[in-house]
Amino acid sequence: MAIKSICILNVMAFQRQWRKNNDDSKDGKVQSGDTLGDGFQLNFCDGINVLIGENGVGKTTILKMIYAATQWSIKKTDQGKTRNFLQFFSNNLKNTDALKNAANKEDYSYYKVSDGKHTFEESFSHNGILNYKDWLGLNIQSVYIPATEMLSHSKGFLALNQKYNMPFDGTQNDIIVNASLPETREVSPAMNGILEKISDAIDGTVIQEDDTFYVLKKDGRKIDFSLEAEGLRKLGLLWKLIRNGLLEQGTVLLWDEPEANLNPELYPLVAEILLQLQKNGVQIFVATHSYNFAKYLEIRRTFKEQVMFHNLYKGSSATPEQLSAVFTDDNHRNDEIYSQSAYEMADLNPNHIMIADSKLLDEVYGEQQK
Amino acid sequence: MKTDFIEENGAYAFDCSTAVWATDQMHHDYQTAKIHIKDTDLLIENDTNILMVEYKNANLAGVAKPDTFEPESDKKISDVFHKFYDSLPYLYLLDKDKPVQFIYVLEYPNGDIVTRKRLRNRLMNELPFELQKKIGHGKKLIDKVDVVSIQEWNDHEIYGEYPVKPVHKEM
Repeated sequence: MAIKSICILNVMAFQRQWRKNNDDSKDGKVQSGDTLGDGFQLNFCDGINVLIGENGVGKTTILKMIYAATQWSIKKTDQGKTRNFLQFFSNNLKNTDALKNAANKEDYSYYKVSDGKHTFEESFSHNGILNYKDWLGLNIQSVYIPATEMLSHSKGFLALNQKYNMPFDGTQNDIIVNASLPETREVSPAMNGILEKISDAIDGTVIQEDDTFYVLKKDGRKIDFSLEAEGLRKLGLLWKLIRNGLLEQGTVLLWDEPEANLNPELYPLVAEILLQLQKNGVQIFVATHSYNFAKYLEIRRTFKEQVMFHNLYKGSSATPEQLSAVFTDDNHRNDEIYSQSAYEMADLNPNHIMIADSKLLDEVYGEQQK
Repeated sequence: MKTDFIEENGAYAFDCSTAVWATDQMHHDYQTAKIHIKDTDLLIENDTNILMVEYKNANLAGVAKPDTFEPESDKKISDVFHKFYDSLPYLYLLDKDKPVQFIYVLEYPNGDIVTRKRLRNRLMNELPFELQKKIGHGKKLIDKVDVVSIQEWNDHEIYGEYPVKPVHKEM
């Protein structure tokens, strides 16, 4: 089982689109005149899906939508509590209105996640989950690692968060819950190998005592998580999630900006860990701004289909050829979000993380020529 | 004048029919003269410049161990920039004194525009840009270095005048 696709219509940055090629979603008539094909659509691979694109194109939103959908596949989830659902996106949303596209609040606002056989459909227009009958019970275990590091704030966090309206969204709350779970009795040999790699990088293991996380160094020192380098805290969190048995075969890992606060020298290690997790049956979604990190995934994969790149970009970045390939007429807006998917990063255009690196290299070259 | 220059693998050819002058004879001439220095694959003269072209395609089927080809290794970079320096006597003897642009047409697995520009910048440091600035008094050995894919070559305003086209082999 893997997440195969997402369709988004009029949610946040994602607007309505009029696409030529919507054959695979013609059956999704949701309102008179609307089809799901009018929305944004991405098809995922079973391996590692790398979302790239400039700020504000919805990478994090997509990760959160998938996370919310997977959480609603688990039977024990408190059903029907839309407020909880909204909390995955922000801690202070009173209703779904803020999730609708600001330029098109009156129209249908909707997203659908599918594993190819079952679907989870959430409508922000109807203020509730539209359809998840066949989805509920699939029990897709997932972990969302937010871009901000949370474990150093764990002391009393969960109790406080329950009592007061703290400025943290559901994904930030959940990562502390997940890291605080008891460790599994047994770790598979494959996962043990990954744990050892991370342990070498952080020079120890992660323990939790009295609500506080520590790195227990190999020489016996116990370092408070907040005193550890932020990049290493990230690796420590990953160690704990694996040790707690949350990243086993059939699970989904969603990681927003793995490269944030990480020294670039650690990129190959993190890329190797993700590739190894994928080989062990974990489907992975990452959003990144780092060309180098994405490139490590590309060059270190063992087969092409292991890593797929999804490029999100605004209409203002698209070439006229790209727009005419999508639209039959001029019914497009420059601030709409489009996407391309490919197994090679070089096949994506406009690729903003490559454009940024290219510009820097051209500037270095230009300086030398003066 | 010969105008179609087929590259070493026989898969592509540079169409230099619009060039002022072009040759791929440097290797042959050095060999015949028993001079054991390096050479570039192709020289193309246009109205303003000499394009000194080095070509490598590790993406072709049948190329031995394409994954082990490392264009950014010190050895490969050294090989490439030495080709520039060793080709200068050839141009001198032919009285070709237009400013030289050194172009590396490169295809390899996992290569992209960023990796090619990184390679260009490394080559730049080994080529005589800094030297000619210091002692050249306006005289230049090199005008430009570039690393491009076949598509980038063909799309380029100047290089594209000499398009790289697949060679259709007779069955």
